[in-house]
Amino acid sequence: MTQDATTTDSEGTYQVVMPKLGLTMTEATLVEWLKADGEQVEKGEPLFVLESEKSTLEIEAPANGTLQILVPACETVAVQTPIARLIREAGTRDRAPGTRYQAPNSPIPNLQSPIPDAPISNTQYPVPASPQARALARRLGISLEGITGTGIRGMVVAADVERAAASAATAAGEAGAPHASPVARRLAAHAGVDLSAVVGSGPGGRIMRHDVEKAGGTGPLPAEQEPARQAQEAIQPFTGLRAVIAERLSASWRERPHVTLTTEADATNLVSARQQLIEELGEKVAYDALLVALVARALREQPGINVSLAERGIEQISEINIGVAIDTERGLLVPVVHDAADKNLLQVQRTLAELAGRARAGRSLPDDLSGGTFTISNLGMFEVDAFTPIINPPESAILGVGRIIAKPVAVDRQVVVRDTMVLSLSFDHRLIDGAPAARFLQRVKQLIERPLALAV
Amino acid sequence: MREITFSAAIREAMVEEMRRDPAVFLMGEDVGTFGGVWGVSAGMLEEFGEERVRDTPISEIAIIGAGLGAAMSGMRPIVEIMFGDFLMCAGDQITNQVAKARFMSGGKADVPLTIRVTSGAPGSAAAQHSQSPEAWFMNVPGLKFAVPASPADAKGLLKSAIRGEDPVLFFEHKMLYAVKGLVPEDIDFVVPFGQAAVLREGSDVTLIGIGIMVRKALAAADALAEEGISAEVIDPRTLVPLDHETLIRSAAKTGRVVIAHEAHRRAGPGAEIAAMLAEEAIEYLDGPIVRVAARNLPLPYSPGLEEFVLPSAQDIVQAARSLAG
Repeated sequence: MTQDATTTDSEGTYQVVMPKLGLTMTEATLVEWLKADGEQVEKGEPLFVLESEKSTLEIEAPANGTLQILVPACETVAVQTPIARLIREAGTRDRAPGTRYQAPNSPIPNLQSPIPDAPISNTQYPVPASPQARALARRLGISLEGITGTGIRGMVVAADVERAAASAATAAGEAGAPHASPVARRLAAHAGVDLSAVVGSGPGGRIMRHDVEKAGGTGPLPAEQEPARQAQEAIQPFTGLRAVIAERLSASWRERPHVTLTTEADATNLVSARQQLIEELGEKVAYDALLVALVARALREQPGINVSLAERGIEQISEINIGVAIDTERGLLVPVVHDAADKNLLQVQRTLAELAGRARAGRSLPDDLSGGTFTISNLGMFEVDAFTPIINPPESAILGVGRIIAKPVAVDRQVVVRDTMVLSLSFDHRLIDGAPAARFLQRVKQLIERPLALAV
Repeated sequence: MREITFSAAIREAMVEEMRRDPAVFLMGEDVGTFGGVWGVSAGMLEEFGEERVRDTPISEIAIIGAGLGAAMSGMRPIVEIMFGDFLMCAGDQITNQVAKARFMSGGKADVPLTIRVTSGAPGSAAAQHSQSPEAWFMNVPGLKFAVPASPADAKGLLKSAIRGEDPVLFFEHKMLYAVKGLVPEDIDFVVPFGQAAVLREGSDVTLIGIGIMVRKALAAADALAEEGISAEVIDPRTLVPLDHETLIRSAAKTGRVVIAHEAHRRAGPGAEIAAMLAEEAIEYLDGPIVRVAARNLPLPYSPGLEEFVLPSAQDIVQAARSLAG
């Protein structure tokens, strides 16, 4: 931010510019000139009134001179736009700008004070101010220009900025715009309290929250507006895995036109097949393993789904690497069964068990979590029927799997009880048309209904 | 705890360490028979004998060089330099040998050498017997610098220096020798290096005092309090290593910093502290960092002129007032 409201040329003529009074301020309206064109102006006299999105402020003349108006009242101009000149008569300059301090030749300088005098003239430099005062001015959106410094060598210190802020607030209050804290404003709006009737007890008459409450604006603010202390205490750093998940999902949602297709599969045979496998192998077989094997088969048959948008175009991926979304203490992880179509069911089951074990223990190997070409997200264990999964970049499709539930369905126009399961396929519509996506989902449904297909 | 003088606290540290560890011995001009020109080692010759309390010729280079050799051969020498003004006579030993031995030996040599140096203006001792020469050597890596301001810190820091494995320049201001204070009797009471002491808490201005100026900063804080200015007084206690954190915390709290030392102002220890604060804490400052120090003039003999050159508590008050008033 530039604190300067003025610049000066070698003749000592000041150029008055629209000051930038806040970090976000880009323009302001010149409401009124308080001096006429051609009028003699003294430094410190009120010169013009500006209105920004936040406030209306009276700006003082930064120098003596004859006013030459460049921008008439009621115009809105960008900050730093020259709006006037203050022309000084020849010979009235009190000191030449740019006069430099000459180091004394004596080896015994500075006998009077341990605090050195100003080493350079201030006329062509920004307002002398302490770092803390500058930071405070920036934060409060106040220009240092025109503030009288009470610090060493006349520098503006934090207390000077606070005083200036308070008097600006008072001025704003007198001008009719009530000066109130943001919370007080929201509370007043919420409770229908007229701020102009409220007496402020804050610095410079600022209306604070409790002033509004006293004036009848009781009751809590709506939760989403209230920056509650409790909520702040519950804030965790948005870093690490959480940030990665957020970034990837936002990018996917932003860039990929998602379409989700749903269908219901008859999972009776799948349930039965799994039970048979468990009895045959004597070990646990997860539905996820069956689903990975079945989906891998469908992807090999319909490679148009196993694609990715690369820089040079749509890339057909030859490998079929299927990720399975799992919930871990750290958050969502997607370990990947590589070359799933080339593995038999038992290999898929064992690979997946190892991957999931490492992921849950926080000891995934780098390859475990990369290289996926398709993802399966199974929320069946949480009694979810159907959902709209977000594609896991750089993949182009994801299958959401709902719970298996026994319910009455019509088969050959007879009501029978079958195990059913809803499948939700989200796909990137830029790369995949609706029909091929629907064909793919249909094929997955068929394979779920005929799991013995894996045997051939 | 009982109240003893700064001088007695130093003697106590030396005596306790010499009783505790036969490798510790004292060497210097007039430290034996005469008991030290400032009386610090009075009685030590009688207790420890001529082997361990050794009078030396008037040769700083010999004293420090012999100390270095003893330190590298397994002893823990304490050597006394009667006037810090003459440290430069041993300049090569200090800067090129003592400070570098550990490094030139590839880390094989420990240098547990304590160089006790009297410093500061005792009043009308003139330009060659009044200086505070800490900063002459602070530019040399490999040395540690202790600047105690109280009897307790003198004892605790000296014990740390003797027990440590690095060479230490230990500065004793002559006008502090007679100052009394409470000193722990625990034989293992030590004050670690690199830990500043916050001697008085305040909110408006930080007064960083070095050596004797700690006492003047405390007096200044009393005077400022009467004007309603709340001063925090900090004693860094060691200049190398320097406790950045405590200084920065205080600067951030008050936003105003005055550094006071009796060494000359130009490139004195305060310059290093001011530069550190400018680099690491400028965003908290609400005004310039002000140094109160001896003017850049050789110290005069004339009491009136000497008073003019030396920094006073009143100078600290004025500096603090100009910042916070």
